[in-house]
Amino acid sequence: MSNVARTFSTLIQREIWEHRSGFIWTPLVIGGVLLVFLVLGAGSAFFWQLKIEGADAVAEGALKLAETQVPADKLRLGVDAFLWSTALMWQSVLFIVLFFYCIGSLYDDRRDRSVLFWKSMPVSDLETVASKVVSACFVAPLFMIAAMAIGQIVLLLAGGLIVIAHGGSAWKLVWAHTNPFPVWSQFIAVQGVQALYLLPLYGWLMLASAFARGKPFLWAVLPPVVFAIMESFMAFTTKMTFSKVIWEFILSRFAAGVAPITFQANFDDDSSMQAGFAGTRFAANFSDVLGRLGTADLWIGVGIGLAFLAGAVWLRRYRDESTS
Amino acid sequence: MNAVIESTGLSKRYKDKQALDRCDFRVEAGRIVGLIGPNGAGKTTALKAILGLTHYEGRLSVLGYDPFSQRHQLMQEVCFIADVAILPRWIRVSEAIRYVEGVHPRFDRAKCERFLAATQIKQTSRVRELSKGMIAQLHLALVMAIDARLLVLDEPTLGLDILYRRRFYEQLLNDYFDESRTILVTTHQVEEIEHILTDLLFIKDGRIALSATMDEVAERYIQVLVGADKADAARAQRPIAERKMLGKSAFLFDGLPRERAQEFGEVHQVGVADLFVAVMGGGVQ
Repeated sequence: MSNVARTFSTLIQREIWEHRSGFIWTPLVIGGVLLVFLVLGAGSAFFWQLKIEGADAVAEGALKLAETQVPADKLRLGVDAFLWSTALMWQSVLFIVLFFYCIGSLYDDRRDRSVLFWKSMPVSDLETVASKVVSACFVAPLFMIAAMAIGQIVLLLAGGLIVIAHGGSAWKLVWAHTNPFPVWSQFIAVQGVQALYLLPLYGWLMLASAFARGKPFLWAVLPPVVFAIMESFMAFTTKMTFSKVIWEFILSRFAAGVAPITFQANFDDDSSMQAGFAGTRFAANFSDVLGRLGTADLWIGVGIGLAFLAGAVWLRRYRDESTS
Repeated sequence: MNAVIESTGLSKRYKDKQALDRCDFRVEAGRIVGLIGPNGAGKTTALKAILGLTHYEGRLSVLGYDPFSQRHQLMQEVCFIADVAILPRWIRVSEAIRYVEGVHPRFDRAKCERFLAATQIKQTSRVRELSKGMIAQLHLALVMAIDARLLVLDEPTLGLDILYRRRFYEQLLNDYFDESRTILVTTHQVEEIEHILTDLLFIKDGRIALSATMDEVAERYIQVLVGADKADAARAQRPIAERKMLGKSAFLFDGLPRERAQEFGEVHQVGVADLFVAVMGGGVQ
């Protein structure tokens, strides 16, 4: 391995060591929490059944009915919807983890002065910042997807077992319709697009992190808010639409960060609901995700993100930290 | 000549303070140099400039590099320990070793593990679980396993107890230092390191107040213990410092010939601490 590759993989490793709890344990814990909810939900349903005469038979009858009457494509859609909706929970939590990861990325080591240790090593500041960006864009999402895959398998197994416990056929109702691989592979692609889409946000947060001498959270959050308020005030008085563009740019990225699929899922629209029930609606929306790669908006954002990151590298490299 | 560090007119100004004021000094290869000065005299600023961590005016060359613009190359050949508290607290000992191994081409893992084997430090421990003394040992083990030409130590033993302090410097001298390496060290505990130093650099108000080898110091400065009867005669020789001790006076002379000094009383080697007080204090108390 060349020296550069060796250094870079070590730097990525370093990020994983430091952020094991956010990158690895948090997504695993989400799976555990969802499992607890599933089991508690099924358990409490079971508990109420005991109190109602004949409820057992009703439940069993309902499951039997579902087995024979509900078309296979709807059951498949149900499983897919389950996979996507739980995926969004993982996604949302990851976004929060990464938000704080970026804010701390170039600040925490200056606060505890360990930056002097990192800087005593032959690692350039460009490499340092790059390793943190790559961690946020790709490493953390990969761990999240792996943990999500494990979690979803466990949840589907548990769901099937609950169906069995109520006298239904897990195979006919759940497992036969389970094919998570298309969802997972699409989700990986979503993460890739998302990384580019959120680069301006990550870049901004890391710039604030490199800049702040204290309170990096405020430096990250206040300037855009103040800027946006001033802009909308100006827009109000001068009828400029400039600010609206910026507001939307920022807000859409926040929204997309929490739920990347929302930008193409349109549940208000009746026809799309219909289309959804026709079977392959998620695959259809997936083409929208890749379609983003062809929009100027995405690449302008990437450019802005890189500019912020260049600023972060510069601050990290050249600013004198001394107070005396 | 074989200068590891060469500085001409090195200056650094902070907003309200001249931290370094036209400093000229040279550090030769294979020396152990003590950079000594009171708080706020510019020691740390000088070290930062040498390590490329701060911008400066004037000329400065470290191992032939411009430390500010060529910091990356410089860090291949320079190591530094800023003080004991700067190893990241979350890292495990084994991770720290793997990290340095991964980023530093001159790191020798076997050597580092040999140093650590002589301590109580376990590879599975996190830095936050170690005592201050152990953190210093860990940092030293990491740094000594790097084949660097210049090692910069900024108060490396601050806050450690005497056992750890002594072991730290013993190890540095016995297991690390040789004529191909150079060590630049700042510390408040001058007495503890004066026997390992080969050179002194005194810094005062941002200026170099004294730059000399220990041999030159021994030749030039002399301390004489004088009884009360000869005190006035000794004073006439313009000592740079005078100190009362046990009914006698200890005079410090700059450039007084040894034979002359012996006429007044017992002649002693000057301690770095006494010399420091005399030079920094600015004359007779």
